[in-house]
Amino acid sequence: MLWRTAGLATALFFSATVSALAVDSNAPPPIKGLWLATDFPSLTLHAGGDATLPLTLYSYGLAPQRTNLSIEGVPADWKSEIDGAGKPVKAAFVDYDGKANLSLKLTIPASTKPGAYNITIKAAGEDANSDLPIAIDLQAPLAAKLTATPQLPTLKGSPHSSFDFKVSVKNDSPDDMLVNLTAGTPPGFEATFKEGYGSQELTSLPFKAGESKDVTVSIKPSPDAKAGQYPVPVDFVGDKAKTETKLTLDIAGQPELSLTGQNDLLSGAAYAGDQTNFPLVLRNTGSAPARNIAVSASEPSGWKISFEPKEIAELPVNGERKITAQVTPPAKAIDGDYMISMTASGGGLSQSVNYRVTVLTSTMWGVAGIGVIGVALLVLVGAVRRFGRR
Amino acid sequence: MPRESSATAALDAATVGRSAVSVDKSATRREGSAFAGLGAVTMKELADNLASARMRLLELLVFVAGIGAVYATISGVKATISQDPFVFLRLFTTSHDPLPSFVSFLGFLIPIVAIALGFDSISSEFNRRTMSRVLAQPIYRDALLFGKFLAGLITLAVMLVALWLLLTGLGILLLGLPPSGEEVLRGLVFLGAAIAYGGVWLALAMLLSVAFRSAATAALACLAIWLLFAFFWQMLAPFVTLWIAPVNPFDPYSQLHAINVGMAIDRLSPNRLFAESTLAILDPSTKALGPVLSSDIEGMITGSPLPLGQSMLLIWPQLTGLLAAMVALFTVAYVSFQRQEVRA
Repeated sequence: MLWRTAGLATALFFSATVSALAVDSNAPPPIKGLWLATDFPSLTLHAGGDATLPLTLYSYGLAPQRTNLSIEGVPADWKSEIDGAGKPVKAAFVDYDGKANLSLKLTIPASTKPGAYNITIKAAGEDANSDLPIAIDLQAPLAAKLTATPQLPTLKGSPHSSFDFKVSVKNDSPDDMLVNLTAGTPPGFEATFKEGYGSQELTSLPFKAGESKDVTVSIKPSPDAKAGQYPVPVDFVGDKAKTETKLTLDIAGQPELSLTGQNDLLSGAAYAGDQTNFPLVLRNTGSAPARNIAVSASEPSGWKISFEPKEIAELPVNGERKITAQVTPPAKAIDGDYMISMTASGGGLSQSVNYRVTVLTSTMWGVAGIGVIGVALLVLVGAVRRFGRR
Repeated sequence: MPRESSATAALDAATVGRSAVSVDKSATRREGSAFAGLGAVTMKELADNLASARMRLLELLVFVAGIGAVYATISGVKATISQDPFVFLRLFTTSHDPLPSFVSFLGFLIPIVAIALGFDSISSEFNRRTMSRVLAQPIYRDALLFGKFLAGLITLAVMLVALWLLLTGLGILLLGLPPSGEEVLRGLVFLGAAIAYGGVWLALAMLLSVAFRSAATAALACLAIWLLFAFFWQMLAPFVTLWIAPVNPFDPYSQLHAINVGMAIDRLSPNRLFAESTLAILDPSTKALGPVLSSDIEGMITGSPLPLGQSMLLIWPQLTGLLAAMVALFTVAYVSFQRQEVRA
């Protein structure tokens, strides 16, 4: 009997469970009526801004019916409307156990005084009504605000490299803004602005309210910039707000060689077989000292070219050193102009200069020729003397 | 003629000094200058040369040939050359079909004129039996020979200078450009080389006129030598070269040696010396007159002109050779004339 009772109880329990489940899915809801709801019925807004509140109209246990919608308590200078599916609506039709998604749009003039405002949205159906009171705590209008945050504010490179800074710019204001981009570069430096990874150069960029964009600031230093730190202030100026961020270029120095003739003269004359000295000047026009510079020449075969000094241990910035090229054309060189390439190289640098050497023949053989004629004339004089008649 | 007179004065002084020293040694020494009467002989010979029908004909030939060559060249130069710093020099060196260039014309014609001037200068005096009459005047026979030679050279020089001026004027007229200073200087050096070249042939012709009493023999001998150097020498030179410097086909240096020997033999010809001189003087971009190895011109800027002084140095051996050959030939002529019996 006990077992039977227990078995019946178990069966009853099971059936109760099953029936309970059946009740959850199929049984009519325990409530009945019309409800207008929003997620946050009490909120803080700023004067001079727009607000959009999502509204949902629920209908439970009622026949499908038309529901009129109205707003009460809105100050006269506010603008308000109820939208459904993107259009202003005055009424909604709600299905049995259905819902309608709506939204309330409020435009609050900036001149509205701060304070507590209550508005009520009324939904009036045929069988039921629902009121949704919304409490708005209105605050003073938001100040327009721009922020700019560089991801890497300091970059390092040579005077020839391009410095690319990424700056995140955010429009923290309730309004759209057109932002002008300017950079206060040192003279000779050049700054360009691009959006994100785009390729188009910009001078201004539109921002929607609350929007954030990445701006790439590329700065090209002047090639003769000295080593050092160069701060570059970058200004983002909108019509209502502006901000500034400071980028820093850390330029490492680089030596630069320039080899030229004295007084920039790159030609000279040399006698065949004789050594001639040509003065050259080696300058360091770069921004760091140059070290271990060797001077060499590519000479035509048979030529002897050496330099004094041949190697220079260090040449300071803007320093110059006189170098003498000792050029000896071969003794039988043909007269004419020859191009000789002279190169100063060291520390990954190389500077070549073409020197034009005019080879001249010495006049020694000319004198010898005159000697031959002289001998011939002497023979003639001798003949006159020997054979001259009385 | 300040140049000759100063040279004469110098030789005068030398001779006078010498005779003063050696008066005691030899009783047969002459008195006074060997060049007394040189001026008179020169002027008379010059007048004869310039007035002779022979010279007029030859000068006409040379002028017509020169003007024809340069006129043809000018029309060619105007059509083809747009820019050239030495356009006037080009007038003399560029040939225009069917005419050869002015310079090669001169290479042929100068020897002919010189031979025509000199081939009978002494022998005609004998043939006309005027030699004893001339020498009966108070002049030495030295002065007679010097005077005849100088007169021949002056005749040649007058002809060449006139021709050069005429052609330069023609160039200015037809090209509408003046010649640059460098071009004028090079033209003058060219004139000097041409006169030296003519002098060689004049001295040769006078030597033969001394050697042969018959003018026809002397003329034929002269023309034979001229033919040899003008046409046959460059054909003979390779044979002589092969004999002196045989070429080993596997040794490039023997080839180079053979080329050098061949050029040396070629340069025994005055025609060759004159041709090389004019080439270097009238084409300033000429930098060498012989075989050039590619290693020699490594790094060279080809085509750039040499300055005048360097061009002169390049052809100095040629100019020297021409002048020395002229003096040497004249010396031989002088010696043989002095040893001749003139009282025929």
